[in-house]
Amino acid sequence: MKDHPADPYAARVAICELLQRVGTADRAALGTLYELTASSLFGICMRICEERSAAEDVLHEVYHLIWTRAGSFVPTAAHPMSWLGTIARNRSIDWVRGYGKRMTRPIEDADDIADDTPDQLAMLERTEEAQRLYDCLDALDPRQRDTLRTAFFGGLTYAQLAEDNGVPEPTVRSWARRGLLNLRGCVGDG
Amino acid sequence: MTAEDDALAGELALGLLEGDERAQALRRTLSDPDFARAVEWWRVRFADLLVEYRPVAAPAGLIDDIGVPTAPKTRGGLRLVVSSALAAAAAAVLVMVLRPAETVLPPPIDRATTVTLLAALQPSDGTGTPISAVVDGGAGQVRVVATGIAPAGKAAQLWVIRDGVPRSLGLLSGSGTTRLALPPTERAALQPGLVLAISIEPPGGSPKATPTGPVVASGPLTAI
Repeated sequence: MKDHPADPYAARVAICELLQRVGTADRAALGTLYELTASSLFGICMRICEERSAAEDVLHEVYHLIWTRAGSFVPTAAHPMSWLGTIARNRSIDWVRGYGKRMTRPIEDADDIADDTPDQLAMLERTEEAQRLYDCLDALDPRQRDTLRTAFFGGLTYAQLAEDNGVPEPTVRSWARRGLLNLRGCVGDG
Repeated sequence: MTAEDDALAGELALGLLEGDERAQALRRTLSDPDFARAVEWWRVRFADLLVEYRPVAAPAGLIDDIGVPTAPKTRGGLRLVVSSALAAAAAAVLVMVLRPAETVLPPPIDRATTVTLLAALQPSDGTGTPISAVVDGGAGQVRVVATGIAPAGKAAQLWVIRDGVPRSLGLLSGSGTTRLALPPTERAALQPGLVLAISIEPPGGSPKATPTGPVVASGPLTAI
C-alpha cells in the first residue's frame, strides 16, 4: 500500500486516469485501481451480501465488469467512485436477488478488519446535488426517509423491510413510494 | 411517464423489487428509453449516498485472473484455478504414464470468447497521440477512444484490413468512446497482426465497400 493519494482531487484524477488505462486493457492499471478502491467497494459488497465468500465473488465480478466496461467511463460525467460504487452496489443486489441473504451473522462483524488505504468513497465531495438530496431526505416523513435509506444501504426488498419493521408489505410499499415521489418533487430535475 | 412510473424507476434503482416485478421493470428499461432515463436519474441521485458505506479490507490476489486471456470467466477463486491446473497436470502425468506413446494436447481454448486484442492507431501525419482500440472478444465488440478525428460534416470510419481487403467495422462517434458490435464474420477472424485503420468519409460512412477518403490513422492488432 503506497502512494495512495489522500487529497480528494488528486485521488479523483488518479482514479480517472487508471480507468482510462484499464479501458485500454492495461492490466497493471487494474491492479493499481484495485489497491486504491477495493476496500471501498468491498465495504458495499459486504454490507449487502452479508457473507464474506459471496461478497468476494461479487467483488471479483465487479472488477471483471470494470475491466470490460472501463472504456465506456466518461471522466467528466460523474465522480469515478460514484460510477464504481454504483456498479458494486448493483452487482451485490443482483447477487442477493439471485441467491438470497443467508443472515448467518451480524453485519457489524463485517467491519472488524482495519484497512489503511484512504476510503475513496469518503472522498466524494458534498456537491450541491448531494447536499440537495440530503436536505430533501431530511424533509421527508421519518418513516419514508428511513425506509429509503435502509433499502439503499442494505439493498433490501419490500418483503425484508416489512419483516424488519414488523408491518405488512403494502405499508412499507406505501412509505417507500410516497417517499420516492416526495423526494422526486423536492430534488427536481437537477 | 407518470408519477407512478417515476416511483417504479426509483424502486428499481433502490433494489426494492424482486421476482417478476423486478424482471418486468428491468425489461422495461430495455424497451422504454424514458423509463431507462428515469432509473438512471435515480441511480445518479442515490450514488450521493455511497459515501456512507464503510470500507472493509479486501482480499489480496482476488483479481489476479482478470484480464489474463486463458483465465476462466467465472470465478472459482485462485485456489480453484490452481487446483484445476494441478488436477490437469496430474491427469496429464497419469495419461503419459499409461500411454507414453500418445501426445497430450492442452485443452482447447475458446479464443473467440476470451481473447482481447489491442491496437494503437498511429496518426498518418505523424503528429498527435495514437488512438487506442480494444477488441473485446468476450463482449464481441471493439472499443475506440478518440475525439475530434473527423472534421465538421465528415465521419470517421473504422476498418479492419483482412486478406488485403478493408472491411468496415462501423462509424466512430465524434467524441469519447465508441463501442461497435463486431460482425460475426469479423469476430471470429480478428487476430493479432491484422491492421485497423480509420478513414474520413462522408456523413453516414463510405458509399462503397472500401474507404473513399484519406486514412488518418492505422495500426496492427496485438494480443495482450
